[in-house]
Amino acid sequence: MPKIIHTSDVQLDAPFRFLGPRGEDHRAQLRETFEHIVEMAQQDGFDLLLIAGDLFDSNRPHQTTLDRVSMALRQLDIPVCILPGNHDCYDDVSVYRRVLFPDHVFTEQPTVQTFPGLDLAVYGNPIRSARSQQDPLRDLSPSADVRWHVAMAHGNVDRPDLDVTSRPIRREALRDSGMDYVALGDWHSFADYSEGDVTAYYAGAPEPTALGQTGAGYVARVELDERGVQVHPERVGTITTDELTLDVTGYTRVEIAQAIRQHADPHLMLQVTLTGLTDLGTVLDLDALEERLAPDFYHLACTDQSHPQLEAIAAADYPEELVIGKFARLMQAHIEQAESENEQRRAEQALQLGIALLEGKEVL
Amino acid sequence: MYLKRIALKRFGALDQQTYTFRPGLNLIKGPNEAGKSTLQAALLFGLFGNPQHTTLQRVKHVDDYTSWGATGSFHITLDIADGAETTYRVEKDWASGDARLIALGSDTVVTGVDAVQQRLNKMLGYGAVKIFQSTACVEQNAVDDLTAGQRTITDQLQRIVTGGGEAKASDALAKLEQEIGTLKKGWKTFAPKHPGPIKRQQDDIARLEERLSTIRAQVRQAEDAGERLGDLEAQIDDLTEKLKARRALRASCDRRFELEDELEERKAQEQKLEARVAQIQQLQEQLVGTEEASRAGGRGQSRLPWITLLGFAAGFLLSLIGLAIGLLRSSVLGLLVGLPGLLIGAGSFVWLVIILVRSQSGDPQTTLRAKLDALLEERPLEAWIEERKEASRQRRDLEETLAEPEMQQAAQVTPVEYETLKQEIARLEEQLEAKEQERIRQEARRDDTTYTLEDVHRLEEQKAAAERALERLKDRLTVYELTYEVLEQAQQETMRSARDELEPKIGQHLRCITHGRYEQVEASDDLALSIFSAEKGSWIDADDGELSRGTIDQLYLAARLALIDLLYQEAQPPLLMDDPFVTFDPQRRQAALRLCREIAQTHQVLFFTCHDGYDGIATEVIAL
Repeated sequence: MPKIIHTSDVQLDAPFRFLGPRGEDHRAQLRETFEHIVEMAQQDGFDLLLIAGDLFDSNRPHQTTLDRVSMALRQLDIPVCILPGNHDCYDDVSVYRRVLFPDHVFTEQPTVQTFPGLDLAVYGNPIRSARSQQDPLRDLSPSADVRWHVAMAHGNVDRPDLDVTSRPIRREALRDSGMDYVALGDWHSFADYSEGDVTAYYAGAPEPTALGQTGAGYVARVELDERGVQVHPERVGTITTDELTLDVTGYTRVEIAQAIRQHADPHLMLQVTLTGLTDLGTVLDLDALEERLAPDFYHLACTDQSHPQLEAIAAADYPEELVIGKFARLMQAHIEQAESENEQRRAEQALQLGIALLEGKEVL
Repeated sequence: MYLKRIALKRFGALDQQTYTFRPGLNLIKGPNEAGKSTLQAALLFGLFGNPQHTTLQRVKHVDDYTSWGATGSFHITLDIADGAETTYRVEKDWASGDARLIALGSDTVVTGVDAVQQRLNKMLGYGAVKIFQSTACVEQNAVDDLTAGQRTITDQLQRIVTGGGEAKASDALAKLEQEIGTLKKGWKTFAPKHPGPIKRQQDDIARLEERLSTIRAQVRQAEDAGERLGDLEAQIDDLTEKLKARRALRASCDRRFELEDELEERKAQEQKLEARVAQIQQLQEQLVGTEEASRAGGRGQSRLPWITLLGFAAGFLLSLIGLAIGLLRSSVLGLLVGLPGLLIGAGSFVWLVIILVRSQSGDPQTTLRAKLDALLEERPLEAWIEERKEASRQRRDLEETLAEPEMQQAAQVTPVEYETLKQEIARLEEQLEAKEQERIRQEARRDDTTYTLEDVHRLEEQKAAAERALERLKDRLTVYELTYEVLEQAQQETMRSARDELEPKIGQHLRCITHGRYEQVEASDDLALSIFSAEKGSWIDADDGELSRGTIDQLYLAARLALIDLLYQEAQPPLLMDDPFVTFDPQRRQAALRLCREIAQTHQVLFFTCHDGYDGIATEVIAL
């Protein structure tokens, strides 16, 4: 019974501007993880490797990367099916036109690749343009005379919370595709989008390529047998990403740092959002916070969405007759009259800074 | 309002202690370590503390004031009389975190920490312990620091009007101004030698951008060259294939021409050989016939030379005889004998010559043989036959070769087409040469840079980080500028308002305290005080050291009272004085105490001291 390893969205050679100087390490990590996937495909008894789009981040990957990918794939004894995605689309300058890959690159619309030894056929439509709005499942039907029909589709399954216009994959189309398995690509988190009798999964990116991709880091292990299609996530990523919402109400700066440090992990990209109501005069210097905690994380990004406790201004600590009280009230008016969220945030930060200075805190 | 009583449980050394106060000047007296500071802290906890918090203003920690060995935190009960002479009992329990306020003599009970504190704040005027401390609490060295020149009254007032702490609004503004100046240094203005962080960041970004632009162009050029090389290689392959095909066709044509020539030669040779063999065979047959014929009449022919020789000899002999006769006897006779001899000899000679000539050329057998020998060239006939067969075979081979498809295809090429083919080959060779040259150029372009896409990404990431940092710096500057702008406005408005209100109030209190000696006070926008000296007939700056220490004490306390009026309005919180005149000389101390007594007319004063000698002026003396 065929055993498939399904990956997608490796996005080799992507720039990672959000990581700053760490981007180089992450690109190297992506290359290593892809090689690890190929190694796993070879050693764990898989019969077929499916890459459902965006193997490369662009059609201009680095030659060294191309050489490494090509070499890794050449060493595989099992067949590989590569579907061009929106990042590495099959256009006039496609990387797949310039480089000869050892195995099956899906270039025809549709492409059908049969594997008689596996009694299996793989179907797919390559993405021809980065802005393609075509349905990735169009014209795909289980036409080959084999037992197992597998499709690759790089696009967006419709979801009520998403306004999908590019590469839309309708759920009905999935359900009526007649495929045993649809290997989905484009989304970076492992997810089940099976419809009716059709098993469909996003394998997700093997490593996160942005903050917030909490479901990244997996490949899909797909086993087809008479009992049905079994799909399991297989962890391959070394880097994880997580989001932490920290209510800092009543916290001092030291306590905030301590709370974040509790999540310390050198392989973790952590996005911290500070919320809650901070005491007046609490200045949150995110630059300093990130710098202090940076050695504890792969990457740390902090966002301050906390607000100063404006109710405190009315209370006795800030009599209007004192500068501190007058300042607090003037700033409160600024905050309330702010015309944008950005303006409001700056006014809130000014309030906190001013109060801190007037309370004699060393915040500058 | 005034405090009537405080009862303490588990509060430091004052466990289970109760103290009763009266309106006016309450003297709380005891030696060092008797618990005066503890009682002051208890009063602050009682008036402002939150039983659910472990600290008071994050400074005084509950654990530090809980009695040793106590099973729980402390409990404070305060009886407070408000202006309407209603007494409220406030109970705060840090063990349970509860608070309760009871209006004694009525059913009014307020529970809950926040609700109780709200009622208390209303009576006190403010719930801020810091403001209470900065106004209603006069610490031990406050007055002494003024006269020692360590602080000025203006400083003190500014600090209090700023926020009650140690900071001054003017200091905060100065710090902000400095930070703003540092941040903006060289930005949008002339760039100094050491620009500020924003300018530096901008310069870094510009440098990165410039470098990125250069490297990106080089990488793009290398990539373009790489792509062009890919195309070129395909074109070169195509041209090479075409050229190869054309050259092959031309070679076929050339080969065909050669083969055709060779075939003609072979054919001619074959014909010659065939003719020769035929001739040989014919000659051989003729020779056989001639030999048979010569065997039949060969004898006569063989004797013929002998006859001629004999004739020649006879003629020669007769000639000799005729000569001899002619010489010896008669020339006529000699002539008659010698002449026939000469004739016979000559005739024989001629005959011999004829025979010899005939024997040489005119003999058919000999001629045939000679011909045959010439044709055979010392080789047997079989060799010539074999050679003819070989020539035939070669001719057939050539014919077969020419019949092959390649030669047939070449046969289709007309001479005009052949000429066109030659021209096409020359053109393709030219094109190929040009492409090869182009490939060398593109390889040079590709190899012209050591930078790669990785370098571009790295720089882009550095630039993105620098841009984020710049944005944050600009945000910070915006926040600083906004803070400065609003703080300056707040300071100006507050100071102006405080000046307007404090000026008359300080004057009132000063007149009261000094029994009319001083009554005119002026305050500047930054609360620098001057008082009018009737004796000198001029204004004296409070901070310039001309005033006597006593006058400074009076002015300072008058200012404190004015501030209390300003901040607390109708509410008149008790004043806590922590032996503020301890360092005064006796005369000055007496003056200061009189001042306190004056103040106590309107405000309850709790005066903490370790000295005797004040009892006479106190309304109530509480010994610790």
